[in-house]
Formats: sequence, C-alpha cells, structure tokens
Amino acid sequence: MEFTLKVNGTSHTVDVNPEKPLLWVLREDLGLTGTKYGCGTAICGTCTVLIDEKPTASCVYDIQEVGNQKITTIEGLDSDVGETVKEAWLTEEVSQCGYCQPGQILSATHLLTNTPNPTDDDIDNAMTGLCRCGTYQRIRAGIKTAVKLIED
Amino acid sequence: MNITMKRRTFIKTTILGLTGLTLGCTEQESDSVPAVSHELGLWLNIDEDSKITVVVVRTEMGQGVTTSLPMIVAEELEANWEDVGFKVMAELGDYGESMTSGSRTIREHYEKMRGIGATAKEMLIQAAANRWQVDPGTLTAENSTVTHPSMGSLRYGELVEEAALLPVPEDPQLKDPSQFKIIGTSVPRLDSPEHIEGTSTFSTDIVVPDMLYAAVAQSPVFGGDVSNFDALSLDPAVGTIVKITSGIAVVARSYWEAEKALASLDVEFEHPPEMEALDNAAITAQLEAGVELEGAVFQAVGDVDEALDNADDTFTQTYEVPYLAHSPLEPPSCIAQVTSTSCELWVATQAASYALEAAVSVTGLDPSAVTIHSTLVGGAFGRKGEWDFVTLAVEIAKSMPGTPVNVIWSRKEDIQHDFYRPAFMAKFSGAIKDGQVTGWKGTNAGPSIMSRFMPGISPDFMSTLNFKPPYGIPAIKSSSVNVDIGVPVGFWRSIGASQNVFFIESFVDALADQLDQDPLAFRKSLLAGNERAVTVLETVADMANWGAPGVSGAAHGVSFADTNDSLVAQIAEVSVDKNNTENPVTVHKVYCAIDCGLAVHPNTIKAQIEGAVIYGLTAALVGQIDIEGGRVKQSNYHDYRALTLKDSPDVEVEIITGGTGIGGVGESGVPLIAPAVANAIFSLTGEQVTKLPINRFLLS
Repeated sequence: MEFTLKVNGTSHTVDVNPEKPLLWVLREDLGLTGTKYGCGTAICGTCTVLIDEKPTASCVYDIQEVGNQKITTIEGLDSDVGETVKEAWLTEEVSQCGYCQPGQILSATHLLTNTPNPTDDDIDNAMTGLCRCGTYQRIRAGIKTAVKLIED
Repeated sequence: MNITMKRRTFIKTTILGLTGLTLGCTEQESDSVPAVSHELGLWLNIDEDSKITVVVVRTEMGQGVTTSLPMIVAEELEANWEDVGFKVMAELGDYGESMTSGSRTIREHYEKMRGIGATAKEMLIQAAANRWQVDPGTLTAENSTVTHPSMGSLRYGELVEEAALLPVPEDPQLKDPSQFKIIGTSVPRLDSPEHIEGTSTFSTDIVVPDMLYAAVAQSPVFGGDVSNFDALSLDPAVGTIVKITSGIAVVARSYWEAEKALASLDVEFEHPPEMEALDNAAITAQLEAGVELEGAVFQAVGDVDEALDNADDTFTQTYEVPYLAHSPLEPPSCIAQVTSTSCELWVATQAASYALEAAVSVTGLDPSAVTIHSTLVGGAFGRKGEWDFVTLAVEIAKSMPGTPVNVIWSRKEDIQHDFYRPAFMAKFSGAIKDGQVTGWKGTNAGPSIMSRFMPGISPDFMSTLNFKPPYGIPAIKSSSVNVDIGVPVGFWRSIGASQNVFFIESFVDALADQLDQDPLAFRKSLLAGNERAVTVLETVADMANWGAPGVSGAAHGVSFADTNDSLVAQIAEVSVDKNNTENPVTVHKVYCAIDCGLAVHPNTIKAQIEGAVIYGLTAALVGQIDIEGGRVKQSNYHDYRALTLKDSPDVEVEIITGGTGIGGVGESGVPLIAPAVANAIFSLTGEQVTKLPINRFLLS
C-alpha cells in the first residue's frame, strides 16, 4: 500500500505493508540508516525519531499511523537547539561506539527545546535510552554544556 | 594510485618486514579517495594536498583506536594533525592477526606505529634532500612540512611521490617522548563527527544492490535443532525459508517482513532430553561439587596446608557468579554474498580473520576468494570476536548464490544465543595467625572457555586470569577446576578477571574484617614494597576521601587489581535500602585510579574506564542469565536489564603515567566495580554479598 510521509522536510512515497514499522521504512525504503534497531520493543531508544518534535520509538510505530506528522531523524536534525546539542556532544566527547547516539541526541534536543534549564531529575526522566558503552555521565555533561551554549 | 607492480614488490619486502597487498577502499572511503595518492607501505597514504590517511588495523568498537593509532603515527611522522584521517583495514593477511581484544591494541601497536611514522618521515626528508641536493641532516620536519634554512620548505604532499620510491630506512630515529605534541593530548576523536551526524555505518547500514534481509531462529534449548523443517512452507512472495545450523532462517525483502514471516511459521525444535534437567539449581550443584575438588594447581607458594593447620583462626567463604550475556546495542549481524567462486562479507566484527575462516568453512572456497569489509561496531564487549553469526549469514547466502543477504539477529536471538561469561564459583580458606594472614587457599570452578580452542586444557588460563591474589601472603595455593555444563561460553569484557577479581577482592575484605582492619590499610600492608600498587590505592583513597563518604548513611568499598599490565583501584560510595525492590542499591559515585604507564589519548582512557564501570555495575547489580529447561529464560532488555542514565553514578578517573611499560585499558575498569560495591555493602550491613547479582542477593 502507498504511503506518503514527510521526513526531514521532504515528502516521500513508499509502497509497503501498512504495519511496517517506521524504523524499517526509514532504513530500508528511504535509506536513512542513522536510526537504529536495538530491541524492537521500545525499550532501548536506538530507534528514536522525532514525530512532530516528540521522541518516539519508531520500531513499534506503524507506517499507517504516521499520516501528516512531521518526522525528523538524526540526518535531518538542523534546529538551533539540535545543532547546539551536536556541538556539545563533540565538546564533551560523548560518543564511544556511536550506535545509540542518534537517539540520545534527538531525545536531548527535545528536552532542551521544551525545558531550556533542565534539572537532574528532568534529565533522568527524559534520557531513558540505553547506552551499553556507558556514556551516561557524558550525556549529562553534553546536555549541561548545550544549556550553557544556548544561553550564550 | 600511481604505484607500479615493481615498486609494490619492492615495498612489499622492505617496509618493516611486511609483505604487500594493495590497499583497498572500504565503502565509507570511496567518496573520499583522492585523484592521486601514494602508499608508503600498507599503513599510510599521503595525497598531493598532504592529507594523511592511516590504516587502522584494529576494530573500532568505541574504544577510540581510529584516533589513538593515527595519533602515534602522526607524532613520529611530524604530521599536521588537522590533516590526519583514518581508514579501516580492508584486507587481511598482511597486517598480522586481526583480533581486537584483550585491551592490547596500544600495547601491541605502540612501537610499530611509531616506527611507521618515523620511517615515512625519514623518507620524506630524504626526498627533499635529494630534490634540494642538500644533506638530510640540515632539514627539519614539522607540521607535514620539510624545511631547509635557505632552500625553503616543501609540504609532504609535494614530496610523497618521490619518497615512495626511496629505500626504506631500516632503523628510523624515534622522538624523545618529552618532545611529543600529539601523544598525550586529547585531540577530538576522528570518528565522533560521523556518529553525531548519523552517517556512521555499521554492517547493517550498508546497502548492497539487490540485497535481501534475513531473520534467524536457532533452537532455544542448547544442542537442539529444528525437527519439522520439511513440513514448513512460505508463500514465495512473502519469503524464503533456509535451513541453517541449529535453526532456521527466513529471507525476505525487508527485515521486518523476514521476522514476521519467521514468527508465522510453526517451527518445532527438538533437543537432547538430558538438556531439560539443566537449570540454575543444577548448575550451582555442579559448581559446588567442583570447588571441592583439588583441580589443577597453578600457584603454590609456601605450605598453605601447614599454615591452615597451625593457624589461630581459619576462615572459609564461597562466592558464586552467574552466566552473563554481552547484549551490545547492535545485535550480531552480517551481510554475505556468495557465488560459486567468491564470498563477500560486510560485518561488524572484532576478528576479521575468524570471519574469513567461517566463510571458508561454509563455502569451501580458497581464502583468497573471500573479501571481508570490516565495519565500525556498535558495541562488542567480546561478542563480536565470535563468528557464529558469520557462519549463519554465509549459510543463508550460499543457498541463494549471487544474492546479498543482510542478516540481523533479533535482540531475543542475541540474548538467547550468546557465548556467555561462564557461571563460576570460588571457595577460599584463609589462615590467620598472630594478627596476620599466613595462608590463602583458593579454588575456582566453572566452564572452560579455552576448551573450545584447546581441548583438554587444564588449567584454563582464562579461568585462572586474576585468580592469583596480588598480595604478599607467605603461603598461597590456587587451583582451578573445569566444569563442563553445556551452556556455550566465551569472552566477556575482562573474561576471567570479571569473576576472579570479585572473588579475590571479596575474600580480602572478609579477611580484613576477621582481623578487624580497615580494608584499604589492609591491602596496602599486603602490597608493601609494591610502590606502584600502593600509589594507586593512596590515589583513589584521596579521590574518594576514603572512610568519609559524602552521602549520609553511605559506605565506601574498595577493590584493587593488577590487570592487563595496568594497576587499578576503585572505591564505590554506596547506600542500601532493601525496601526499594527495584533498586535496593544506590551507587552514588565511583572513583578509579589507573596506572597504565602511558596515556596516548587521556580522555579516551577516562571514557573507557567510565563506561567499563557502568558495564560492570550493570552486571554486578542486575546481571543474570537464568537457565531453565536447558535454555535461557531472558529475552530482551526488559528482563536482561541494562542500567539507564538514571541508575548510573558518575565515575571520577585519575590516570597515573610515567612508568616504563604500557598497560591495557579497555577492559580494566570492569572487574573492580562488583567487589567495590559488594565491599561497601559488607561495610554497611555486616553481611557479605556472596552471590551475584547483588540486587537479587539482597532481596532474597
């Protein structure tokens, strides 16, 4: 079945099973492989995309639910806050293997867009994505550095 | 590339004794291969614009080798760091063995990489000397430029074509480390930008034209297989069923379709009936029997039986740890394409040479017919040094010659078909006389990892890794018993140290308690004379303000290990609340001092220790693979829990350098956290944690 979806500002039409999760449409039909598979059950966060700016697990989100909503993947993150988060990520040298970082960056961007001065609790509650390399304290540091960069 | 076959042959035999093959280009690099570039041996490529590419022969799995190895080359090469990039090794064979493991990349490559940089620098200087007709001794090299006081300067890019033709210096001069400008600095990691932008490619991200996808299901019970394969069928429009070793695969146009089709099949498995009796209780019983045996004695100092006989007091304790899965976020995956004459793999592997052997084994092809593209790895921790996922991918691809197949393991498949960190038990007896420990007897028992590679090995050197107490005790006897249980076992970050440091450091605290001594002071007394070790302990004690936890009601616990040629000590600040059944243990902060001799990229060392502590802490608090009816019970991150940001303490790291050796880092932070936390809990509650994981023990 044909679906048209808006990803990173561009419209795409794909012909797929209506139940195909957005994750696999992005990766296989649109060639956007920055969004990853990690668990298939919305726990690990590596499949996180922004749907109308909200972090969403794309591995359990059927293509037929997308409709007109605006999808942002890591490849299309170009908001001011998003660019600042990426800059902070490099400053703090957050990434190790890199596999989880697209999801982390999108979640952090959403957090800071809505909560410019998050508390540690805000960060704990927003940043639920797993990182098996254990970069959590640098994710926290990255968020705090981004806050400072945004304020300046 | 402008290199003639003759010159390649010349380089082949002279550059540091390495033989030559053409440098290939990986998928990621093909956009950036310059029009004209020259190889200086296998390792280094410099183009006309003086852009320098270092071939990295170890797997990048987050530990930063794609930055640290080029740093070492760039230092001796006198390169402008801004112009340095990396390329992942594309071809096997001429770079030596390819396994990335054992925290040994820097230890094994430091001198070699220095030599490569220094060799190339001297050839570039000689090329300038030839062009200017001056003595090379009058030239200086700095920032990718060779300069003469009056002749001017030439960039490396202008010299490299001539340099590549020159004789290779046999004995290049290395820099004095006091002159280092790059080594020892935390330059921005070369791989970070692509991860941030989401453009980094792991094996599943690669697109090969006409590629299909596959999902696999192996027998859930170990040793089993599909029993009704011939009865299964699928609409060809939906997918193709393929028989694989111990299981079944479905190939489809999309991974999700493959998984869905696989789930729709009524697959029946059969297994050896005796496997049904294999469960946690049976495993514990086998380990308990094992530690009562003498086993293979691998350390005998003094007369420990005499010490135990003559002791004022003896103290005995037994500790147990479970099987652990690796569960890296990127599951095992491999793209394979097989024809009658070739096999090509794109794979996130720690061991391209094992992937090669697997491909040869399945296809029967000559190794020269196999091409391996080794990609970035989304977390490995030892899992991706195995080749089982390669074998299955090649089997699937072999069933449809010419079609590339992207095989992705589901999370469930990953957790239930691992090569687990072995379940282990250790029993210790300590002899105490006149307020001293006069004897130490320890036996550990568990499955042997190395038996897979070296049948009959006893003791298994992975089982004994770090089981010798690193302390001055007059009589010691250490032995190890192989217990063959039937669950596949393999290399989990820090391997034998992962259980043995918990065992040793827990018993040390038990003895300190028997002697009513402070655990840190006790360790220092047992390490008297080992200045490096005492320094590491004193450093971490200062960092933590040992004995005075910042959080009210918390306690400190300490651990020490000599691992991978590094000396490491950790202190954890811990609180316990058994009423909190989700998280009865709170680790407020972890402090780690590591003497690793040399710090090529200090920030990466810190990051590796930080991450290793979290990896080890996850295992310590909640890590358990339960075996029931001969199969793994856990299946995803909901029941094989990984700590989240909320659960994770900050880790403060101090790096001690200046020694004459180099210590490994990648695994070295892992094994100390379990005993540091357990020892803190002992201090708080008066009861030792004798069985991991800690949460389960405290709540039982």
